[in-house]
Amino acid sequence: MLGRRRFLKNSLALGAWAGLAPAPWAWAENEPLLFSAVDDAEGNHCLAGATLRGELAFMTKVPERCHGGTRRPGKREVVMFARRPGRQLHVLDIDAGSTRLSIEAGEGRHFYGHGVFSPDGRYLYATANRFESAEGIVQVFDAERDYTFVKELPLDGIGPHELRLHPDSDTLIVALGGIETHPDYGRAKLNLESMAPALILMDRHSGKILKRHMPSHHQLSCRHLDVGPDGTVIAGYQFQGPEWETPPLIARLDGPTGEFKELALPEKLTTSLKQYIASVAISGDGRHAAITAPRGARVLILETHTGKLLRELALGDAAGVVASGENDFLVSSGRGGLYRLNSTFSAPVRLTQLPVHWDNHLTLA
Amino acid sequence: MTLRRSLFALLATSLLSSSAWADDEADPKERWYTAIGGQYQTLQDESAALADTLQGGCQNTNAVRDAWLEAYKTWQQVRYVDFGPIEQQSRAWQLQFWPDRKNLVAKKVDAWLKAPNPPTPEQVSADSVALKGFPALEYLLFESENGDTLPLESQQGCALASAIGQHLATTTQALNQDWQAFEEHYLNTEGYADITVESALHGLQILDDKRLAEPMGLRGKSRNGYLADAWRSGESVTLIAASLAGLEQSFVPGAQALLQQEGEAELGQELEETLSETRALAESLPSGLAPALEDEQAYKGLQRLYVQVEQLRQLMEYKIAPALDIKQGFNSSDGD
Repeated sequence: MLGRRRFLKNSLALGAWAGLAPAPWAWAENEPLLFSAVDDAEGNHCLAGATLRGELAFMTKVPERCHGGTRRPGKREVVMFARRPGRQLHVLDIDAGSTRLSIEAGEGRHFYGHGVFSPDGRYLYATANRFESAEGIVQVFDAERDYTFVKELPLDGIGPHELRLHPDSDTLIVALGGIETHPDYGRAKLNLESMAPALILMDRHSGKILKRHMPSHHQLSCRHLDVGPDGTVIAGYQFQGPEWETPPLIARLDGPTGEFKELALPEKLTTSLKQYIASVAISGDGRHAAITAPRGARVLILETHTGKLLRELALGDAAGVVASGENDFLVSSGRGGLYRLNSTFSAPVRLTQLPVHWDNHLTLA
Repeated sequence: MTLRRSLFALLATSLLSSSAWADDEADPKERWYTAIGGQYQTLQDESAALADTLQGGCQNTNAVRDAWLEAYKTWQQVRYVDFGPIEQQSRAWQLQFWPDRKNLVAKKVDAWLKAPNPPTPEQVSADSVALKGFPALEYLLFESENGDTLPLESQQGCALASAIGQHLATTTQALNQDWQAFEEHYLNTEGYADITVESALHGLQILDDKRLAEPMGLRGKSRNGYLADAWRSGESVTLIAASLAGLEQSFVPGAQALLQQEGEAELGQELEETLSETRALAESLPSGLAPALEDEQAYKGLQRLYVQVEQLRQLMEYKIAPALDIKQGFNSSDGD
């Protein structure tokens, strides 16, 4: 039964959405919601929340296109990040369905679109760039003090992207893309010849880099990842080299042994992915990983513990993916669809089709 | 009829029919591959000619400007292609760093103008993308603070221009070579027909939104000539006309073949006609965009061009792409 009902307040969004979104545009207190950056049909950049049934809960405009998000443990709060080379992060109050606070990356810094909280929900770790010197860093904010800046942890590398917290609660796992960008140069990639991407393990307290795993080619930009309950990491690459080459696009870091290995998919499949992995999620039970590939219009399901490809599913502009429950995933498409996918069934079930473009990541809170 | 004569007649008939078949039914991708390759070859040739002109000295400003504009136009013709070897080493950015909201081209060029020695082509290659291409040369060829001397006319300016010209020649040569090596992959890999159509559509969207509407003040902000490409030389509209001509040359024949296969030949005809009208209109207008923002009569000409380009874009976006079952992606075309 629905408890306190929340209705869309943003009159502008309401005008744009009248008649389009399914009723009742309401969600119950403590009901889990999906969060994502979206572009609306007119190309406005927004943040959106949707129920797990696929109903749009709210949509609010933001000045820059956003990208990933992260749930704050213990609070009804989600943080969404501006996309590279954006400068803002937005703190969303889940129950109000609106932005509570926006924080700037600080002088000479831009964000990369991702962040993660400490297990107690106090500290927020966000990947960022000191762009005059192109130094990749993790910025730390204190959420209990309205996200005041605490410190920066240098990564000794360029272009960090997604990061997650290891189940040991102390280690940050950072996908270092290796690509240099600068706000004055827009989205131009400035160092494709000298990239040095990595998968980095960092102590979140001291900032000490514990391990740096290098992809097999210097233009394999390590961008997105998820970590399972045993510390096994599945990472997705975006290859910046010639499109007629087919290097591996997925890597696996074994939790118990620390072995880092790239996974060879059938060559025809690798070719069809067009060198681009968007988003990675490991299921709640840790057994499966879902990987989206929008350029290849596919979702891949792997067995986490072996890295074996179990299935590939067709989905146009497949974008965000997040684990739901023990063995389900929720998947979004840039074409507006939201889907539920069971890791053992064959076809994704469409929950809704909305006139929005879902960006590459989904956050469940 | 002797046996020999009848055999000859048979052979002639079959040759005739096979060539007629080849003409009507040529694979769309083969048409695109060959036509785009021809444009990259021309870009390489004109860039080499520009580098040669600059190596010969900078006394004849008009000759240098002509060589620069010819080469720049050949780049505009094939600029819409956003896949394949052009994506390597950010080559498209190297050839044309644009838009340049922070005036980085001026900053980077000025820094070298003040340096004790001009850069070698290798130093240009290692420097910012803003220093490497046609806009940096444009600055040297057209920027004039006091209205008389150009950076090009100084020894340092001429040597800098020559080094940039060399870099352009090397880059476009490598691009052309890589395109030749790309043939098998392009022709034999699934999906490149869609990618080619999407690249043309994307090129038209950029032309419409970024190269025309934004500087013209039609996207919610005031008119701003500095947002146009080639505003320093006053050749913005010339370059737009070149881009439209480039689509006519290398995109339309393959698109028509593909549309014919899909039973949509009349859309191919409509594309050819609309593109041709739009290009002719662009060619009939004054070459600069920024000056037209200050002159209502000239601005009306730009508005006519904008309306034409919108029609062209809509034809691609709402008729041709759907007829070919092509859906432009969001994350698949601009993810992160």
